[in-house]
Amino acid sequence: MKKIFKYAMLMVAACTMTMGLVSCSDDDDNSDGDVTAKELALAAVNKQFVEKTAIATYEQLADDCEELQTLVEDMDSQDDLVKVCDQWKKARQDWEWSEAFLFGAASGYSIDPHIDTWPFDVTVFNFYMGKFDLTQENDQQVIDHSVATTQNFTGFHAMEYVIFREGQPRQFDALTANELYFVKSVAADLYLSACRLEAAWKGTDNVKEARQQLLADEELEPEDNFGEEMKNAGNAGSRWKSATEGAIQIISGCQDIIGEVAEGKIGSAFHGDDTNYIESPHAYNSIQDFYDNIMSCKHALYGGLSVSGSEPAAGSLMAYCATYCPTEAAAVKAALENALEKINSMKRPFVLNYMDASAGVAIDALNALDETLDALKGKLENQ
Amino acid sequence: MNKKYLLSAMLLAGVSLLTACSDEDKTASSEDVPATFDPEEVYAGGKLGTTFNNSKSAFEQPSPAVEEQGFAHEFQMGEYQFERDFNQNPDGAFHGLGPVMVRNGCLYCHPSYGYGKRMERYRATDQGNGYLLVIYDKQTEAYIRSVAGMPQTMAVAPFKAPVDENGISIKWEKYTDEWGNKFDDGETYDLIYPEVSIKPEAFYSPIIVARNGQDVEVDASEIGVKLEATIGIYGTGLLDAIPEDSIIAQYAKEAKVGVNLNPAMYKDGEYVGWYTNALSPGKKWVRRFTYALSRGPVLDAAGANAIWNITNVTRSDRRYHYLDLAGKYYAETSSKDPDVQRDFYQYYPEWNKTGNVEKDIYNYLTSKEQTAEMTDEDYKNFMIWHRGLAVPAARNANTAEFQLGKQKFTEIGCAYCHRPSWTTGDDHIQDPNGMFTKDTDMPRYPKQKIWPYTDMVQHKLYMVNDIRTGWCRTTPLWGRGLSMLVANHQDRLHDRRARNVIEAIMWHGCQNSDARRAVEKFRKLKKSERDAVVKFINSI
Repeated sequence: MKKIFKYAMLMVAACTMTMGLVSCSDDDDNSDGDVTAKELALAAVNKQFVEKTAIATYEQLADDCEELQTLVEDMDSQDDLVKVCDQWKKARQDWEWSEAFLFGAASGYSIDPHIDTWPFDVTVFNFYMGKFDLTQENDQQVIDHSVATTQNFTGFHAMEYVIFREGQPRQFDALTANELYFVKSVAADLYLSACRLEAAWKGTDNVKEARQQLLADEELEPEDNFGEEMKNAGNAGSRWKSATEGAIQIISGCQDIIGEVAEGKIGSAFHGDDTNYIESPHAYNSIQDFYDNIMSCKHALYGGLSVSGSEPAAGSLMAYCATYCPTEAAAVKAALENALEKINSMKRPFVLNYMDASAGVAIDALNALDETLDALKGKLENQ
Repeated sequence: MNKKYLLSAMLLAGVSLLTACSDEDKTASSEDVPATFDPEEVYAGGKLGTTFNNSKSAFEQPSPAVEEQGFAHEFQMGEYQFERDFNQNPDGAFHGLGPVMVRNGCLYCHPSYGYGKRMERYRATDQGNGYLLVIYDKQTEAYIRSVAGMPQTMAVAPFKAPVDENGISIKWEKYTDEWGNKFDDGETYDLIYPEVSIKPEAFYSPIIVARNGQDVEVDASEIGVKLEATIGIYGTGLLDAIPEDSIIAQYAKEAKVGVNLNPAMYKDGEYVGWYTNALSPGKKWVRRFTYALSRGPVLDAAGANAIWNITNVTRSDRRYHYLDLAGKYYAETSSKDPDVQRDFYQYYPEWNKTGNVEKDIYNYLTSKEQTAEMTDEDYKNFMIWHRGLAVPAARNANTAEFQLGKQKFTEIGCAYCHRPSWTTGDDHIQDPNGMFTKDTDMPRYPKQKIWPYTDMVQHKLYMVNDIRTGWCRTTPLWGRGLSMLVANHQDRLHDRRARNVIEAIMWHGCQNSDARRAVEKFRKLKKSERDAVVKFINSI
């Protein structure tokens, strides 16, 4: 979540007022007024973002969480546990790739805090594992309820705690029957959340029938279709009052996670606060999480899950900006690549090296990236 | 010229251009460019308290004061206290949950840092459920004594919740106003209100109320239940900076023209509602926060309280647990509960002090010398975050519809209670708890013109199933129009009975309501004018 105030936004405000003045008919209402060429172009950009990035990410997340649940259900050996750990990392990457667009279902339905809160409540876990007999239905219900309704007893980090230690898969033989039941419950809940995310962006009718049924059975069918709303930005029924506002939301979403990675995920530990603030400490996956978060920004801006290098896909927001705000777009590109490189150069694992100077270098690179996005956003708003 | 002033100058340049345009292009602009546009009103929180982020994260931004005054890192760390669940781990960040809780963390009630939404049921773990139960004696309207003022429905093992939420019922009833829920031009609207009840067996302890100075047990039929939902957090630092004499002057102004004021706040031409705290003997403050105006300065207001009593995480100035209002009934019941007795030493071996488990349970629950679970640094960061949250800038202020809405909002009388602007004072830090004593402890907002749209005074709307006592502080309107984008709902009023702005306005129109005349005038507006008022309210 972005936490650094940008004076540049004052300029944006000023320019916005100026623009309103120049046109002397500006109104960001959902009315049927003149649609500018910019609005039409950005509507296409937003559509590209929804289809090629947001929906594609959530489809993959749902698929990988489904596979994760299957593997967890079938887990019966050390080899199986290793497969589960590998699949956890795949699903984890999908999720981290989605964090540039937490706006919409992830935050609107509070799925983000539900499946991605840390630290894990180890004390309750130990109490429950010692107290309950999870072959018994009543005890199972207590666990299932906690997994379904809490934030720090569920999600990625709950599963991480059970299956990883010091960056490696645990010994399968060390897992208790209660722990196995617990991790199955978490896997099922993760899959359910992923299905909900996919349906909330794609439309419930457009997801696999089995997922529709699951959501119906759990009475968790999304009330919204964020993908359609984003594509229809500026039209009645969309919470985004213009296509430009939709495009600005995409950039703001990137800035939110960049600020979170810089000041929170890395910064809180780097500045010497509490190691409880470090995410994915048991899988030693923290730096991969940071990297994937910034890749999430790249996916959102460059259009699609398969973008690589520094060239955006045709029809993406960055492709638009490369034409209409080339200076700012070039700065973003350079800063984005630099931030990825600096994160990749951080000393691993983060949980053992969180005060290494390389973390500070990464923070600086992320803040620089944030500045370039501020400039890009200002330019985009004021075209 | 430094960056700040350079950009401020550019802002002013933009405003100047605006003025120029309206002067030079009268034929094109007569309908579109407002004559009364005040550029300052864009800065809802003043120059030091406004964010121009109007996206999904609009309610979670730091104010310019946070960065200018060097609190960026503390703000970030304070935010963590807000956004994470607390846990039962024995140490480390976020530990200390329980023994009983209203919620495990803050985000449940403040989805996306915003306002709680209307709910069909009461479940503490439902995301977005910002409801607090208000359980009161129907005879006296006072809170009952055997649960907390903010009753808990959760507990950590081996304890049991004071109220079993499975016994709570919320039913939404339809309401038809005297105009048949219809404007003269035929446009209709719907109104609903909550009927809330709790089954007698859902109470863990006997139901005790205070009557004639005595605690007495009563039947469940003698108590009532209402809902109060969370309000916004952003901007409270700015409201904290309004000078006390300005607020008192507002009371005097309203009293002078015969406005019905809460005699507990203003009586016989004098402000009498002073807030005090035993930790600051001899000092008193004007009340300014919560619907009931139960709190004074923000450093001892709802947030400072909630980070302790919602989760029951103790800290150095509150080394005790938030239990029932009387401070004994929950402890008595728990200490005699065989289930709790059976497991207590397993969970709290350090409290095996007498060998008498009943006594040890009671002593644990009622102890005033608990270990502080939240560090002073974490608490300070939390309050820096709290006081440092920015208000979103007003949107659409340079549009004709905004200005028409503003004009009508003022003409029909809304602006009387929803007072548009205030100017902050020197904003010296005030903390009745005595934790923060220096101006450098917190982000500050001196001499800012702010636009909260509240008179900071309580009024009555006389709605069916109204708020307890009927008195409700005028809610600030700033930023609320972003709620749909930010938190996926636009529910309003204290129990979120209004699902949009029109419903909220029309709930102001009940017989005897202090806003009755304004609503009568609103009803006479043309649809385009009503729409403009709504647009204005959603833009400020």
